[in-house]
Order: sequence, then C-alpha cells, then structure tokens
Amino acid sequence: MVKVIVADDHEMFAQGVVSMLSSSSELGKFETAGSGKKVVELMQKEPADIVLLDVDMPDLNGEDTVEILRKIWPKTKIVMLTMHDELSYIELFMKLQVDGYVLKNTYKDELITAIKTVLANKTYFGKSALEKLKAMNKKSDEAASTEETSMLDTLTERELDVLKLTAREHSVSQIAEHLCISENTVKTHRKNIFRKLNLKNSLAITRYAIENGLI
Amino acid sequence: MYAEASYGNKILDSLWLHYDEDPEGTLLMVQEIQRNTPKDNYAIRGKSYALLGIINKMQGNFDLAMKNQLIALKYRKLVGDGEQIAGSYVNLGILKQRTSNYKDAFSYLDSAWVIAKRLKSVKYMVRVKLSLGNLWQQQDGNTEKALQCYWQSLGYLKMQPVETLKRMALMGIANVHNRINNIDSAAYYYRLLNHYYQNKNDNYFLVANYTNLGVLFSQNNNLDSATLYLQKALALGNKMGDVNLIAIIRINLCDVYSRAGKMDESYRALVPLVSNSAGLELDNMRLVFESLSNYFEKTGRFDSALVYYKKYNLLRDSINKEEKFNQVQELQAQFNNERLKTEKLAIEQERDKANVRSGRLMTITISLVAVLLIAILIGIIYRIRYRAKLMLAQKNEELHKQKLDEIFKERQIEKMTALMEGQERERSRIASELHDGIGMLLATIKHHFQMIEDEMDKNGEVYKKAFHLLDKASDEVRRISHNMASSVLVKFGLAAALRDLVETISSSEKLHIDLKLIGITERLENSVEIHVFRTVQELLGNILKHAKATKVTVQLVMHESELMLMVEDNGVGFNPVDGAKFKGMGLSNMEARVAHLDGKLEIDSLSGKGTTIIITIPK
Repeated sequence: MVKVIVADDHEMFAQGVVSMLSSSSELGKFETAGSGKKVVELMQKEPADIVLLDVDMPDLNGEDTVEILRKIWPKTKIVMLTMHDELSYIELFMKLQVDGYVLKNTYKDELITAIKTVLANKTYFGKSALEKLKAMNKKSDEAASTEETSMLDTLTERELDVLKLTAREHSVSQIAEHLCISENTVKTHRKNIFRKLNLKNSLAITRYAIENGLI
Repeated sequence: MYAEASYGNKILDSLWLHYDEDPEGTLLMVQEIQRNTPKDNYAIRGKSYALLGIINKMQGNFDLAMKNQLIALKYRKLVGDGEQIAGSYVNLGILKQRTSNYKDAFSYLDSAWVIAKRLKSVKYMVRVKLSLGNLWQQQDGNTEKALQCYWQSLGYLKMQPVETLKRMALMGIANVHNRINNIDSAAYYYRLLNHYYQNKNDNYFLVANYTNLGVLFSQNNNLDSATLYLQKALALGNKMGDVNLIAIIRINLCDVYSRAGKMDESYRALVPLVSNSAGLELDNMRLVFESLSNYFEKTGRFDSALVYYKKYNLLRDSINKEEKFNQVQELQAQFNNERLKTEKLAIEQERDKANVRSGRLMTITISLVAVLLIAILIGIIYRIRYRAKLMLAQKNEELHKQKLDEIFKERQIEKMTALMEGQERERSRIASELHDGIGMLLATIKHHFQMIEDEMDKNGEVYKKAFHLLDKASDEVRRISHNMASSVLVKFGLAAALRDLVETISSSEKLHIDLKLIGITERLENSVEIHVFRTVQELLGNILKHAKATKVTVQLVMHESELMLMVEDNGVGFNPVDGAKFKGMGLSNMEARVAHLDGKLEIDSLSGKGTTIIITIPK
C-alpha cells in the first residue's frame, strides 16, 4: 500500500487531487497538508512513500521542505506540483534533486504517469518543463563546445560589424553612416566591445581582429 | 636567336624575381633577350619592356621608364591578357605618381581598376588599391582615404591571400599612422612587418621598414634609435642601389644628426646626394635642398642657406606660395641682419631727437583726446549699466521659470514614482490573487471535471467545449499574472527574470530574441531590478505591437560605473521627434522610470532601419 501526502495551502485543491488519485488502485493512503511544517509533522508520525509538494506555502516553503525531506527521509519520493512553469523554478528543483515536476493544470493521466514513474525509481518532468530544459541545455552545450571563441560569442552581430569596421580604422562617424545608426549608438557598441573582450582602445581591437582572423 | 621562345620567357621570369639584386646585369640580359626574340612574340616583348621600365624606375630614370612601360602596354594589348594590361596600367600609375603627375596617375589606376574588377582578379584589385592608397597619402595627405584603400586591400586578400601584397598593405597602414603621429599603432605594424621581412630575407622591404622605423623614432624624438635604424637601412640600401630610397634615408639621417647637434655628421650624410643627384625624384631633390638650407642656417651661414632655400622653393608646388614667401623673407631678413642692426640704431637716435622737439604739442593733443574719451567711456558705462539691469531682470525671470519648471518636473517624477510604486504593489497583489486564487480555482475545477469524465458521454460536444474553454481560461490567468508581477524577479533576480521573459515571448511569438547578460553576477538594488525589468517588458511589448521586427537583441551590461540596457530591433523604426507616436508607445512612462533611477534614455531610430534604445543607469 502506497502512502501519499498532498501538500498545498489551498485545501480545496489538495482535496481535489486526493479524490482524483483515489480512483487509482495502486495508491492506498492519502493525507493532506496545508504547509511545509505540516508535511514534516505528518512524516514524523508515519513516513510517506511519496509527497506531492506545492512551491508557495506558508511555514516552510517548497524548497525548504524538499531540503528537510531529502536529509531525513531520503527514500521518500518528492514530486513538485506547482503553477510555476518558469525555467528558474524548474532548474532550482532540479538542483534540489526532486524526483518529479508537474504543473498544476496538467491532466489526470499525466499526474498518475508521473507518480508511477517516480515510484519505479525514475524521474519525471512534465512535457513543457522538459522542453524548456532541453532548449536550455542545447544553448549551454553550444557554449561549451566553442569554449575557445566564447569571448567572441558574447558579441552581438551588430557589435561584430562595429568591431570589424573599427579594426579597419573607420571613424565613429563613418561606422554610423555605414550602419545607419547614430554616432552615440556606435560609441555604446564600442564601449560594450571593450568591456566584453577586455580591450582598452581601438588599436587593441585591430590587433584582436587580426589575431582572431576576423579581418 | 633562341631555339625556343619559351626559353627566353623562362629567363625573363627568373629575371623578374631577382632584378633588384643586380639591376645592371638584368638590364643587359633583357636587351640580349629582346635582340633574340622574334618581333611577333608579343608576350615576351611585353614582359621584357615592362621589366626594363621597372629597372629604369629603380634607377630614377622616370622618362625612360614611362616610355618602356607604354611600349609594354602596347604589346600586352596585342596579346590581350587582361591581368597583364592591368599590371601595365598600375605601373604607369605609379610612375605618374612618382613624377608628381597625380591626375594622370589617378586616371591610369582607374583604367587598371576597371579591368581588374571585371576579371575579378584579387591580385590586381589589391595592387590598384595599394597604389591608390599611396597616391592618396602622397597627393594631399588624405590619410583617411589612404587607410580605407589599404584596409580594402586586406579585405580582398582575405579571399585569396598573397603574402607580399598583404605586407605592402600593412606597411601602407603603418605609414599612415606614422604620418599622423599615431606612434603606438605605427610601431605595432612596423614590428609586425620587421618580423616578416627578416624571416624572408626580403631586403628591399626590410630597408624600407628600417627607414620607416627610423622616421618614426625621429618624430618621437628618440634620436639614438632613429640613427640606429637609419644607419641599418643605409647599409642595406647601399647594396641595392635604389637612388631615391637611399636619398630618403640620407635626408632623414641628416635631420636626425642635425637635431642631435652633430652638424658634421649631418652634412656628411648629404654629401653623396649633392655630388651625384642623377635619378633623384623632384620631391626628394627638394628635400635635399631643404636639408642643406637648414644645415647652413643652423651653422650660421645665411648666404648659403638662402641659395639653397631659393633652389628648394623653385621645386615647390604653388599651393604653398604664401608660406614660401614668408620663409624667404625671414631668411633674407636674417641675412641682412647685421646691416640692419646698425641702420636701425641710427634711425632710433634720429627719432629720439625729434620726439623731444615736438613734446609740448603732443601733451595738448593727448589731453584733448582724453576728455573726449572719458565722455565716450562714461556714456558707454551708463548704457551698459542700463542694459545690464534689463538683462538681470530678464535673467531672473528666466531662472524663476526654470526653477518652476524643475520643481514641476521633480513633482511629476515624484508623482510618477509614487504612482509606479503603488502600481507595482497593486500589481503584485492582483497577480498573486489571480495566480493563487482564480488560477487555483480553475485548476481545481478542471480536476473535478476530469473526475466526472468517466460517467459522461465522452464524445459530448458541450463537455469538450467547456474543457477547452477552461484550459484557455487557466492559460490566460497565468499569462496575466506573469505579466503583472514576475515572481521569478523577486525570487531569482533580474537576470533570471529576463531570461524567462525572453524565453516566453520567443516561444509564443515569431520573434527571435537574443539576450546577452554581461557582468550581472549579483542581485541589484530592488528598484533597479523592477524598473529595468518593466522597461524591457514594455520595450518588447512595443516591438511586438508596432515594430514588425523579426529579430531583437536585448543586452544588459554592467560597466565600471554604470548599468547599460540596450534593446535593438530590425523593425520599421520611427522618427523619435514624432511626439504623438512617442507617447503612444508608452515611452514617456519609460522615461519616468529611467529618470527615477537618475538614468539616461536615448532613442536611435530611422524610418525603415530599426530602432535602438540605450538606457544607462549610474551605479
């Protein structure tokens, strides 16, 4: 018999989840908690096999609760059940090594799949969370594979144009005319280039461009 | 006659490579080949005449060089090889430049350019550009245009590298910097080149490079280094026999010695040029005379100095007529100084006597003038005072108005700030209510809805529709609450919030957003984070609504003393002076935010050329 704790400060929502899940035969015992503190109290009485955890809660929020659960009851599975679909949240809980991450407006089937997956000692992240993570990883992979030119990667296309023209000793006004932007914008681009490549003056830009085969 | 014409061709090719080592011998060989080549072998004839022209040029015989190059051009036209024709035009252009006939030089180079461009011959395009660069530089010191030519050359060479040409371009660039006294830059390029030439044993260019470094140090008043490099150049240059190059070295050496006070050495450096000036370019001849004149002037022999200055002047362009006139006068004055001094003394003595005689009359005149003057002065003072009073009143009024304006503006900012802060609080309250209240409720309803699913007709239209609407409502609530207040901003900070914002927009809209965060490693002050985030949000909103852009770059860069936000789009742009549109786009709201942070907002937009917005906030 699998024991489940559903933690959410909205009692009605927690009850809803319980009644939805109780129709599934594998799960036997349900308890609800309105705060992180309540979760810890319930666990002290009788540890649960799985905790469905909200992020924003009074008296110990989601992340603090996860840390405590991980330390004291490492075997208990944790699935975040939250409204937050932002990458920063997903990453945070990835780092805290929760077993699953599911959005609250998900379908019943997905929640059950998540619970089953997690109970089989695997991790489950919702479809949209997975997509976001993938997009993010792809970006960081790209950055890692081109480590040598990573300084250059910080430049925008426009800055690269300005860099090349500066390297070819065009004046600010010539560059402005050439790119149809104001001189002040050109100056700002240059300032950014100096900052990003850690260069001091336009001769250094020329040197950099020659050494990196940009011109 | 050679058994095969191709044999002559081969010899010519090897001569082309080594003519600078033994010009005399090469000359004889070429004449020999010409005698032994059939008249109708245009290719060999063309090549040999071109080579003759080059050697003539090296020996300073420009007239003969021109003649030979023109013959070469004729033969090459008969052969019809475009590149070679272009080459001839370039050679002719250079010759015209060396004889100070700039107009013809431009016209020859133009002909060469047309052909090279048509053939897409990188090598010849570069040659033309390099010659043009030299021409711009020499003709009227148009260093900007010269630089442009050299850099264009390097650009073409990127497509198809030719080492020697690349070095020539670099040398051109170095020379321009040398000329405009960009010492660091010039030294950088020269050193780059020195390295090349020493490895390749390319003596001609090494001499030129040593000379240039010598000139550079001379300008920099580093006379010891200048002497060293010029002597190096002279030693190597003497072996090669380009009279004009040697002349330039000697002229510079003379100048450096003279400035170091070594007058004997200074004169000695010039002597060989005076005793044998055959083949010297006019320009260089002029410089020799100038140096001699300077030398004699410094050693106090003004008569000789004047002689050489007159010679120098004869060769000078008419552009500097006035300057020339003055300098001659000055020299003449110095020449006559001794005589004048005695004369002057005599005149002054005469004058003193006269002054004593007319003493009484003078005082009377002066006092009369003084009265008049005082009267005028007083009048002026009154008028000035009156006007000053008027102006003071005016200024006071202006100041008053300005102060009022300032107070008004400050009030407005205060009001805006209060409004914005209130707005911010209200926003997060509504957002959390939406998020936690209605959002939660909707999610709950959805779950309940699903529970009754089994007991219903699954194909029921009403059920499906209601379910779809519920989904939509829940998405909408989430979107609105995110827009109103970002919990990510509060919890994770500006960098994370911007990343999320960009992620959300670029996944739902057809807009590619490039986000760069540079040096944002720590959390910023609360108000800065909120205002910057809202500004980006508003700017992106504007771009989506008005700009029709496909690409946006958002950058947040932490500089030493300021935080800089830059948002660029490639959309339709607008005219920043257009006030109505300006306000309509919520820019005044943004201006208030920026003003609240003591920042600066700049808009750079051109109809059809996208918009760049730069916001700087002091740290």
